[in-house]
Amino acid sequence: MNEAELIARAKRGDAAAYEELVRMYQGIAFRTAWLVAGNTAVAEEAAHDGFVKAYRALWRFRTGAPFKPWLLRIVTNEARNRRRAAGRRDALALRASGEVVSGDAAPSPETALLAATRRGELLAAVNRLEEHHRLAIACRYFLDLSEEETAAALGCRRGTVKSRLARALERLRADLGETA
Amino acid sequence: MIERELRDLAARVELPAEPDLAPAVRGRIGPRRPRPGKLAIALALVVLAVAVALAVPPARSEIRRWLGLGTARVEFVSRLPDVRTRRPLDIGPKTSLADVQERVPYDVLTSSLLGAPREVHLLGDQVGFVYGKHKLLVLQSRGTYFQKDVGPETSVEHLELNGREALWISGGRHYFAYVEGNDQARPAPLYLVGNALIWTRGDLTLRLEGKLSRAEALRVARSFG
Repeated sequence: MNEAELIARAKRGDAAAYEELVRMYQGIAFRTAWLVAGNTAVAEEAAHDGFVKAYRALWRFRTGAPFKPWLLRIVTNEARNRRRAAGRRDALALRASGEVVSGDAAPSPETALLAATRRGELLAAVNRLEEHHRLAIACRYFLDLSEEETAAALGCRRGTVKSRLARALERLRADLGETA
Repeated sequence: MIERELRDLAARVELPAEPDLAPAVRGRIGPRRPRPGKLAIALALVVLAVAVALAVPPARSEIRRWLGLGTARVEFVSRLPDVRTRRPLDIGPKTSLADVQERVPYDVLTSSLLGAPREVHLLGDQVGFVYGKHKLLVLQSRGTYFQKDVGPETSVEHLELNGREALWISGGRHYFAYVEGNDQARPAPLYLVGNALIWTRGDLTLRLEGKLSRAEALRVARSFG
């Protein structure tokens, strides 16, 4: 059953169909909430409540409209409401080395070290960005959300996302001592 | 350059493991439908208490499941308030057909069977027609959301009308409330309703309420084009 069919069934009150939708989107919803709230437990709670609210609001969801941004808007709104209570924010960090499988030939130890250093510097620079810039970068590049989805997640217009991304990239380049 | 580096970085950023939220969400939204997808689901679920259920927080926790059609929502609840009083309709001030045709952002549908309505009302973008002495009501809107709660005395059936889904609510009392954005209901005076038919036409949602049989209601609904 495709997404449109699941939505149609869920709108008619089919809880099983909605459960399938939850499974389809729980990963991206939770991770986006985590970026916004900065805390795993709070993000899980926000995603959970967001899915329940989305179900109750589903009757107002316009048939044929993209579901993902609509859902992300509700979930991240929950995350934003809880952000203050979340306390200290988790910083973005790199996975332990060796967890990423690459199809390329193994680089020399020196090259690998340089690349790892560069990645660490880049991520540190992302973490130093102002909150709204950091979120725009993380949603767009790390979660691979579209501009429309990023706008929904951040509760702003698509044009605002574009300008935040441009400004954030500019800041990153400056921080890393590069020119555009 | 830096954009490409950020994309490459995505695979190396530590993100928390995805939790399985589905069982807990499912637990909060209600039980499995007994017969999903069937037409004419006579569930013997009944009577509505929309406004009261929305106004009384504990009643919200007893929602079993709901159905949506157009801008209408029907919630099934296990308990309904004891409301016996008939109150005035809250369908907006009385006006004229020409006036509503001028003011709402859609083409107002009229009945080829019932003739001119005795009264025309307007509330938001909802146009209400009152016919005859027994207050047969037909309401249409594009963006006015409304909700009904039904308890265990009323039957809700899925019907097909002009090739589209319709809901026929019969067999018990029910009430309605308007719902404004963000799940917030505006309290509306309760009033007793006979049977009700909810259907859609284009992007409009129509609702008929009155002491009509299902066949009569369908005939009236078809007369709206």
